[in-house]
Amino acid sequence: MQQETQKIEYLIGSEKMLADMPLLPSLPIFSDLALSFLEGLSKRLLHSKEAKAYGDVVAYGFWVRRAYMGKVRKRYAGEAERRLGRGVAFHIAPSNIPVQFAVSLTYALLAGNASVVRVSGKEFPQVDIICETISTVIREECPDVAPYICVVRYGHDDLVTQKLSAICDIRMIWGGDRTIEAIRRAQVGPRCLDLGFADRYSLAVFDAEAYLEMDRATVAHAFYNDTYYVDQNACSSPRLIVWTGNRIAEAQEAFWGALAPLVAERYEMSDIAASEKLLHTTLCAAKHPGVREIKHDNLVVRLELPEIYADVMAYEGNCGYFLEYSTRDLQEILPLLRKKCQTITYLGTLAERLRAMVVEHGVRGVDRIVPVGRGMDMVFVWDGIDLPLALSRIVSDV
Amino acid sequence: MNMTYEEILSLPPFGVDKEDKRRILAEGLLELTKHHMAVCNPYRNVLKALGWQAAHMRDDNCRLEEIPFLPVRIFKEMELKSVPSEDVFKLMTSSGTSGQSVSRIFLDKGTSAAQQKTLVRIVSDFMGSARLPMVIVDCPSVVKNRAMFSARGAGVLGFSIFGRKKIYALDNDMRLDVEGLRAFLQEHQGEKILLFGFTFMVWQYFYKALREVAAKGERLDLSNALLIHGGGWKKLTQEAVSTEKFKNALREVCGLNQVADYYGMAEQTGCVYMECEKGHLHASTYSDVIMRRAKDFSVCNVGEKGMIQVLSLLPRSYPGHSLLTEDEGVLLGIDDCPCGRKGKYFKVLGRMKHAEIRGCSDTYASGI
Repeated sequence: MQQETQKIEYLIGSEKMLADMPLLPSLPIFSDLALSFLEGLSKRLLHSKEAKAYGDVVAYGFWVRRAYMGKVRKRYAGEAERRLGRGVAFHIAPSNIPVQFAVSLTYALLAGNASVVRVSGKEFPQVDIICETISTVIREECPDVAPYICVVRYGHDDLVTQKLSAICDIRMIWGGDRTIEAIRRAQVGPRCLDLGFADRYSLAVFDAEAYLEMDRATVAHAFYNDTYYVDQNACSSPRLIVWTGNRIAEAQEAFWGALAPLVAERYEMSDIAASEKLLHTTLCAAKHPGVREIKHDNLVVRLELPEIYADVMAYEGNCGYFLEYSTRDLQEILPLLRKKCQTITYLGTLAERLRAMVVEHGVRGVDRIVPVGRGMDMVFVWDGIDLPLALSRIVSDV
Repeated sequence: MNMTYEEILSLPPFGVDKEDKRRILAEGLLELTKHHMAVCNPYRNVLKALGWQAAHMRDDNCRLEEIPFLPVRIFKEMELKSVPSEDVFKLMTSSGTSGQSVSRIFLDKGTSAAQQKTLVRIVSDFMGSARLPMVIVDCPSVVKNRAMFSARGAGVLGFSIFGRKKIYALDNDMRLDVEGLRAFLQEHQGEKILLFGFTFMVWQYFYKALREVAAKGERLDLSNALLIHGGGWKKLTQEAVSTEKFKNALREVCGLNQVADYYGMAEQTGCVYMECEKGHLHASTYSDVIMRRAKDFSVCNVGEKGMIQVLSLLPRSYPGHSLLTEDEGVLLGIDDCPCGRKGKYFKVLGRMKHAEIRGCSDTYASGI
């Protein structure tokens, strides 16, 4: 261990803390210690001038606020007496969602675990701000939580990953299929819970008539947050939009008409994205006669599909590239609800119908059904896993 | 009545006024577009999807900017050809570094022959029509398999036509054949010599080896030579080697003072854009460039940075006559380069950057 740990840079914690982690007592779920730590963190982040510049840091700070965490704790109240953390959680955070490391850490801490979090080698001010604030809270308010948190950075070093994997009781791998494959080459112990958050795709289902009753600017902002705000590249960002109901053409015109100026005002697209979008259209159209590109400019590119092709999700783009399909029969989307399908965002009152469809047909995908604008919410159930429960163990009786 | 390609090729490569050139190119490219639509189904599907219809473009009123374009990367993703398989004479591939996918370009005899003739017309304008003793800055194995060409091999073979007596400067282990070169230079003392090679090869295996030779006290004199090189600056930019540094270093080590870069690609072989004495790349009568804005693909003004679209009258056996590259460039002017050549002249700024985008996927595996 000695040699490997020297290659580790500690943003929070130390080599000694890491070495002691396997012997730490687990905490109960939603422990007072965890909640008071998060309360302190929330207050400081929400009052920090530095943090203000970063919407994602503020959103995280707001998520862990006392009032909300108290509410969540109540939701798990029946469990609190007999559940505690599994031990040490080793997190591999993604490189392109800066605050995800803190979200993952929060799950593990609330479930009663100690954590060692590997953040990406790419430096983000958001990571620095959150880490500095965590250190301050530990120092000034919550020293007891110190042994439970290590945040580390290390290069591409399989030996370090192996060492950390060997000591952990939970491994949480964010960052997609290739990352999962790379990390899984390092073995974990026989009882370790190894969670991989894989590449997923998402789609949206819009009820045209319901949309026409809604406030267009509000919907445009909500949709922007699910898509452009994250370069339309989060697992939960819809790539395919399925329109259903009556007055579809009218609704489409209104919807895209309201979105385009917002995108033009706010979104900064890389030049290469324009050629990527053209490539997606070219590939899909070459193979499938009958598709049609509906172009505004290169910021918003839509590809209208005459049918749902089996390979349709292979043409998913990002940075504002949308496949679009209209149908009277929602059952047509069933073939898309495969394992890889994560979130359905919807407009209108489709939630119950969609949920019933998923359950009735026993499809392998669809872990979330949420209204437009809620795709990027920080939540406790992710990829179909109730994290406070999954990351803790239950001391059962008869 | 449209001109045949033979007739167009007999026009001077850099001597046609812009209005005439626009008309000739627009007619020829429109005809090519219709040809590919008629015989290449995937191409027709794409143009339909993009809402392009030939009927919208009357032949006598065709604007060059309205010719539809494909993204150049499509040739890496799928096979596109406009001839029956039995007419495919050569399959040409772009030189991707290992692991990358390569473009596959299907050539029939007609397209292949037109490429060669066009190259001769363009390059002769820069080096004269006499064939010269030629040093190929590459290894002999680069042209071994003639049925399946790499772009490097195609370049070497294409330019070989300008050579009278040829030697390869490198052996198959990419080492400089100092003795062979020395003997060749002695034999052709006082004659003008043509050097040809890929930019990176010239730097890595020729210049660096000459520098070592010079360090041992021997100077190979290439002050009579003209170096034509192409293939892009990507690797050299990574090593912080600029055009200036490249030229100066070569002059210093072997007295070479005529150096011409060219811009070209496997997807439009034959229509190279040669660098003139003023350091500008030139579009010939047979091809053109249009700089476009990423925001909406509208056409850039002179002096404005944009994505480079390349147009060529050559590709008939595959639908590659109008392509949007992933390179960025700036149009410097039309018909008024101080070197006296007509047509557009421009600068290539390099490959567009692959931006870091947000989202969930890959981190660790990509080495970050």
